[in-house]
Amino acid sequence: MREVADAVGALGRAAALERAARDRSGWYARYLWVFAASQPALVPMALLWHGFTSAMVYAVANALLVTGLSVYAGRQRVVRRGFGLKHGLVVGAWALILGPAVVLGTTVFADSRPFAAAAALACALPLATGALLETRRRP
Amino acid sequence: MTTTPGNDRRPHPRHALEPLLNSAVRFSVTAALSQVDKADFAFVRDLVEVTDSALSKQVSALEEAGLVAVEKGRAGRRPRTWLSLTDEGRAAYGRHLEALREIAGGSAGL
Repeated sequence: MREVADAVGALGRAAALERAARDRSGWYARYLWVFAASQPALVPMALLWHGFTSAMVYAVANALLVTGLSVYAGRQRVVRRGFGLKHGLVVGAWALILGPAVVLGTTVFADSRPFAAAAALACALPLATGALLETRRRP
Repeated sequence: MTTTPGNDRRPHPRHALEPLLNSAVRFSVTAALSQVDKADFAFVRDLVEVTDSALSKQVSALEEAGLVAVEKGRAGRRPRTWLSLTDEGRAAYGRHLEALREIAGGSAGL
């Protein structure tokens, strides 16, 4: 009887610890939300605003975003399971959309506001989807 | 026709328990690591509520048995020790949990 009680107690302890560890790996959802939220500002800036000032502002804004997110990620004490694969997929999908968006937005659809808006949303989509899935993953 | 109850009996699930994980601290460490790729030493220490030296001792035992991997790194200027479960550790934790569930499930028949 005591053996059973010990087993039940150990299972309860394990479940609580697993939950606590999972909860602390939720920082990645916040990371992706911030990354996604930056796209409606950064993508139109890259496509519609031309010249040296634009390039400088875009470069500084991107550098601040990437540095900020990297420092944030580097300070975390827990890395979720499958983080490398998921991050690779999300950032890879984002890059696959951003590349053609920039090429088309500076050639075929140069200075097209509707295209810039659509490109911004398209670039935010994989990041927001990743963030949403990450938020749902946690109980 | 008669049946002999003892003949087709499976061994009691307690025999499937991982001996190393019978320690509460070592079991807690593997439970905490089972949900993550890796976790900082201090995070596991705070979660499991043990001292640095107690955790260090238990992690050494787990590392020696090949259940936990220890990786030294840096976060900026600060040194950081990452802990993670090896594949073997993950499998051992899974087997241990399964055995516990079987033992706990046995209470229904008591």
